Amino acid sequence: MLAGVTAAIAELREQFAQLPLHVYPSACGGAHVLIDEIPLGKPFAQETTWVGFFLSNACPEDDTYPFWVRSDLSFADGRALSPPIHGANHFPAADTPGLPQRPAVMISRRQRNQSVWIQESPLLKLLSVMKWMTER
Amino acid sequence: MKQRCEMRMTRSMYEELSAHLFPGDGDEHGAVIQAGLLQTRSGPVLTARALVLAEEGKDWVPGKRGYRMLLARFIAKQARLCRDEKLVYLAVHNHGGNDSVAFSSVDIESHERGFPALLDLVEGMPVGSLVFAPNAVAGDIWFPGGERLTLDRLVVVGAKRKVLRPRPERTAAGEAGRFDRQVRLFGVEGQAILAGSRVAIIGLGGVGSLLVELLARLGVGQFVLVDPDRVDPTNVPRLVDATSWDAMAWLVGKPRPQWIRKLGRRFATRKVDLSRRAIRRANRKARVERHFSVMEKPEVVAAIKDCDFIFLAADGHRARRLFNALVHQYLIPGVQMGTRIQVDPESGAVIDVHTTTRPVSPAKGCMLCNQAVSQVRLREESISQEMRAGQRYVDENDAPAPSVITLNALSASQAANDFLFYITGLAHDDAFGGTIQGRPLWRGLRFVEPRADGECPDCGSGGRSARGDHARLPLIE
Repeated sequence: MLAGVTAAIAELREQFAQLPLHVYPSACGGAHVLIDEIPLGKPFAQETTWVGFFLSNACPEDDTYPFWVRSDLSFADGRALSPPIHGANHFPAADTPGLPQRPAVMISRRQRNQSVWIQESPLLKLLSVMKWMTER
Repeated sequence: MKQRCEMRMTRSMYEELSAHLFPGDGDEHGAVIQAGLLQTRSGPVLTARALVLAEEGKDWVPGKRGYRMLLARFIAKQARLCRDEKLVYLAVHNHGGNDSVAFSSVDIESHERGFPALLDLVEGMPVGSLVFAPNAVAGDIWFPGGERLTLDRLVVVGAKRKVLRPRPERTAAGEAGRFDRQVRLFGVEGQAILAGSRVAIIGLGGVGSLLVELLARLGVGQFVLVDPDRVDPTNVPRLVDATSWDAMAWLVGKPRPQWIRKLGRRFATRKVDLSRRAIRRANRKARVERHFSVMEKPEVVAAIKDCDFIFLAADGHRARRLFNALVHQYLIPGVQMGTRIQVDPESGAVIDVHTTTRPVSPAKGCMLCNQAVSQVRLREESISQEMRAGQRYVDENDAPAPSVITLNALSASQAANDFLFYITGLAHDDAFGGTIQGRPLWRGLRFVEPRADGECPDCGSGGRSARGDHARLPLIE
């Protein structure tokens, strides 16, 4: 794994020290990351979810997206999922040795702030996406 | 081979230093420069990062052995800052004269007395001294381990390049006859500057190929060519000197079986080789270094480090990100070029056509500040095609973008002229330094003034600016 990826994973491990965090290095120097049991709660029907994502070999320069979560994700009030929350997806997006594809819901939140000198680490991006989800 | 030692400085810092050293009183004045350090294949390069002016009577006082000196307390404070930031400590003062300058025997004695202790203080970084005249500079640089180099030249990077040396350089007799018509514009000296210049061209597609032709015929002496691709039949209308044979068109056409097409692609001419051929035809004396790869390789960066100018003619945002970092970290000016043609996918109607020539210098035109590097595009370029397909949720158009040689020529010729007038020092000091956009559908031009943000990690004062080898380059392991 490249130095930027290793540093991002260290930051994620520190933040989610209590949760199971799995790393699957890729041949290009990046890594798939899978974190279990991240709290969800309101407005969703599920208490927790796993979250999966890919750190590319451009990390931390690039945007980290999309994120994938449990495939049965649903709103507690029965609302349908709508973009940028996309059902009927898979994580990881392509065949990855050691990490079988699983059904998933994909959350595709791109970085809209073009002022890229405000670097958003993968951890900050994950936290902002989780915050955004719980505000739906 | 004797190592050369060069220093690079932005125009604004040079002007501030000149105003301090030569206020018109004919006296001596002092300062300290904190500089980054990078190792190139031709020797070390110092990149001036910060200038600290010595205050008269406080930091710059009557000397015990010489006329004036920097106060020991001031020196120690600046040296400790250099040690902490891994920068080179350079004491600066001025002498009389105009086009030549040298250290006095008192100066040299003070270096020999003081620099060994300073080297211990800065812990592993070089230390040195510079002496300026209005149009000259000399330097005595001491390296850990005992090596001692004189400064060959100071390159001032701005709207136009200014080069200072200890004494005027004799211009070698050039090929005035062959270049007679252009020598009438910028003189034998200008032609010698071109012959002595080294440029990197990243991307040898439609724009880069034309640039190669223009710069080779101008008489540029050294080229670093970077491109990972081979000639394809659809490239032939836009690449200088390309033929169907270069593209192996008779093998790669659709009627051929897959394995023959694959073989044809494998034997097609590499774009770096095609460009070298064009350079050789224009100027047999030019030296060409080829890199059949993307830009993000340590060996490519090593080749670019001692270039005078970088041309970015590649499309990708990974290349843009690295290019911007190189410009600011190593103080090498450059220019980014591109053409954008928007066509309505439904009707086929042409919506917009514009060409871009964006100067990117350590002082102006940062691509991060001007939102010319997209984190989303960086992401898309950094994952596999399968991953992109797997996470796609809308239909995206994967068809190649339109490309036309006459449009490419607009940005290539503007960029080549920007380089020409920069390197020969003929550009006006107040020349427009922003992006020029060609709008051929309107037969017009747009002039876009660049923005700058003090917090920028590339051009901001706290970022990688002039850090040399000490800062890690993005996308390079």
